[in-house]
Amino acid sequence: MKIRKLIIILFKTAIGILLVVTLNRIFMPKYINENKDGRITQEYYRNSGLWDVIFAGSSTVHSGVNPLVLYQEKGISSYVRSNASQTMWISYYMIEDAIRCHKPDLVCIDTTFIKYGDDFVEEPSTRKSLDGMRMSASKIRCIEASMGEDESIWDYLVPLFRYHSRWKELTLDDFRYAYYNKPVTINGYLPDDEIRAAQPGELVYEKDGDTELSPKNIEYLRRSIELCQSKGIQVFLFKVPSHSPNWSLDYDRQIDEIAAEYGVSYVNFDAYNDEIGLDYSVDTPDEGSHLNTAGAERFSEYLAGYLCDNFSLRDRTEDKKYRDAFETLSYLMNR
Amino acid sequence: MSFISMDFALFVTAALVVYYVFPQKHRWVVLLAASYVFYGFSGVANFAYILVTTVSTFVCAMLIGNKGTEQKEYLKEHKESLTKEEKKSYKAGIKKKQRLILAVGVLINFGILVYLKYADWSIAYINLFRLSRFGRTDFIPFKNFILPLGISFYTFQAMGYLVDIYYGKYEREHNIFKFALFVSFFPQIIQGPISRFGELAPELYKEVKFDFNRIRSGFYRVMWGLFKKLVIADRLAAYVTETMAQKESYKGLYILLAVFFYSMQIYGDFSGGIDVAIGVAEMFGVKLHENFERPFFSKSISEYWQRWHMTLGTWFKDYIFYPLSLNKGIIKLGRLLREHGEKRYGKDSRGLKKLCYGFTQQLGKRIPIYIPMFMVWFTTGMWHGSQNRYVVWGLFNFVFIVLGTELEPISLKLVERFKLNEAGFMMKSYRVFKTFWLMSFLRIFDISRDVPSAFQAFKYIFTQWGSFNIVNVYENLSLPKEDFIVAVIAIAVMFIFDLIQRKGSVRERIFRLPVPLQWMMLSLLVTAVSVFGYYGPGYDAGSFIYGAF
Repeated sequence: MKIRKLIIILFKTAIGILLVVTLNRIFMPKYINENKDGRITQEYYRNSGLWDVIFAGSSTVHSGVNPLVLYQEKGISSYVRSNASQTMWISYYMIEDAIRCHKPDLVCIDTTFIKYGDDFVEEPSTRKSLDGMRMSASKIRCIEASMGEDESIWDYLVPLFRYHSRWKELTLDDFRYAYYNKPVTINGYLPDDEIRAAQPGELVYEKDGDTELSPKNIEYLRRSIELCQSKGIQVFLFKVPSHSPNWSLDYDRQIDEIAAEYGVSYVNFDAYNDEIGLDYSVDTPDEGSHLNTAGAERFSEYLAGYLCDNFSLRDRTEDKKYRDAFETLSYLMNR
Repeated sequence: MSFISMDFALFVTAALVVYYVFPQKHRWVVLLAASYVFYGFSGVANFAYILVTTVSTFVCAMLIGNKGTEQKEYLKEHKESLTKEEKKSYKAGIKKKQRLILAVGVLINFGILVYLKYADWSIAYINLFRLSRFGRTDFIPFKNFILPLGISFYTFQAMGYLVDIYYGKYEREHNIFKFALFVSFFPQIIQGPISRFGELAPELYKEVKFDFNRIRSGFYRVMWGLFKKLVIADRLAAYVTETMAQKESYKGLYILLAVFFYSMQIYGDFSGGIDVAIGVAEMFGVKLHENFERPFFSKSISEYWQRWHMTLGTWFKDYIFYPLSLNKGIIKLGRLLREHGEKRYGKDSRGLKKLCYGFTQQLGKRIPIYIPMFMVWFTTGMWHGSQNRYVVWGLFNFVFIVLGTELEPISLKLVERFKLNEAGFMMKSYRVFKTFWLMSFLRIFDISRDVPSAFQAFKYIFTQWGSFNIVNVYENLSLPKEDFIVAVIAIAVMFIFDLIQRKGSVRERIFRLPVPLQWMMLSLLVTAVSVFGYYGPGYDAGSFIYGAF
């Protein structure tokens, strides 16, 4: 009798959980038609054990690094775990989450966003990074490190608490994609065909004010390197090329110092624009801040060569598993 | 820790687990620990106040009780040797001492409450007096006290206990920890209900067995409370605040709608909070006193106040109204007035003198009722807040109740004259309608900045009715169309359930339904609260209004 009662209670609890999970899934933004970078984190888990190279960073990575090109060029299998305004601490937890169950050969950390201070909090961006992240200790720590003062951890753990106000704007897509996810990104890469030329002329950094890296940024950059090294994973620090003056050579110097301390390399690819062949009159969708599809292709070709030359990576060209995966991506890319 | 937070949900869950794991006999200890942990979340400094109340009330009750025991033993011992007069004199001496102890207890506890609650109010008047009388501008600085959580509620509860012990209504509690639980029981500490020792103590200290059905029932009650609070009250709050802030621009129907919505808001807010308190207590096997009984279906103001915040009403009735109406001075005053009327105008006078005679006789009869009633309403007003508008609100209630009572014969004559059916649906509806709007209009004092502003709002209700445009409600007064529709539906649901409740517990009816239907009802309730509730980022979910009293 007691067991029967217990089963009924468990069954009822399961129904309750299913109800809450379903509501969560319905009300969470789907990031299908807009803000597609919100899908990057979630889509990672589809084939999370496959990727040899993990990229972490902000929007410059998911607009500038095309894993399909990396594969086609040098057989590099990779995934971009970046989001708009992704801070160094979120990148750290993205790496921690990625290597929890799978050990990649290389982790490439983009430093573009290191220029923002410790107090940088942008809830929509944090949400896009974290909404799709699977529940884990990394996720909880990431939430704690990222949320603003007036936010609650529960609003992240139970997204319904945050998104229930969307009841006024729900569309058919919210129900359609509650349990079914159509792929939106190319292994985290988001192609953008727009062209909006940057101001002509040579790039001159003009960062105003304090150019000291903030303690939290430094801490998480160090922790990222240490984490990878402790697992025997190669680390590469880089800055995706852009034509934005919002940078300083002081940043490069400080990052160089940290990189040297750990014996890892750091490259600001802004210095290789000519070598890469970037033309900011056609290769950018937003006057130089990011790369468009053409720019990403050029940079990814160059990056593939650079990574192959400088790191020990496996060529997956002949591996059927990877070939199939990238053929699917190729189909998606051309669709 | 707010009732509307995941922290509270987790706290209750953890407390429930520990409570039911603990041996039955000592489960009250878990309740005490949980209550103190809960109280600790409001600020460790607040402990001082609740501890003073607990210890002082316990000690005073103990001393009063000891005096009673001393009296019993003494009289028993000297049963034969004492004359009737000596016994009477001894008893009077003991009673005097007990009264002194009671006075000390009441002074300490109400002193703290009054000092914390009304210090700034008093300082404002002292400063004003000094300025106007002596031209002094060296103002006394305000204290800006932050009221300890639930101080009004636990003070009233503790003082009720002390007075009851004084009158010998109950045997005093001998265990200070058990008494501490009575004072601090966490579900009711934020906004009541104000319980009586005789009712609550046995519930708190009894041995409770785990019963899933009771937990389920409590959970329903909590969800229903959250529905009223989050879906109705907090949704309407912005419109009410916005309209009252812009009443110069939005008059007539806009204000009338705000008045109506405020009635719904405060009912949803307060009764919702009480539902949460009662539901949580029920999960622990503790039955709390109901605080509302469909007040909006009352047919008179007196009835309304018997059905709204019932525990505060009965508290005032038992500890202010009755003691005052039985006060020798007040009874004497009534008698003197009657005698004066008789002497001055004579029993058999005619004309104006007869009228004056009748008036003095009636007034003499009513004084022992109206003076205590006046005090009750004055205190009720003061209890709600240290602002004049609350006092005025309380006095208006008094005036309306007096008018209602005095005009009742005329009303009955009219009913008789026009051959109206007093018990018929139309007359009942008329009385319910009248009472609802009268009480709603009085609440303008609640939502206005001050007394003149309340009168101004009242005046504005009757102007510019033609200018009403619902689009302004949607676009300029913080109640978008979708929210307006949800609010109207939710209010309708609340009233339908209130109506069903007249014929017995709604939850019991639900539990008699087939299981899938029960699940459907609960799922709908949970979905309604979690989806349509005003909570979380992007919403300014207000704390419970009565929590501030």
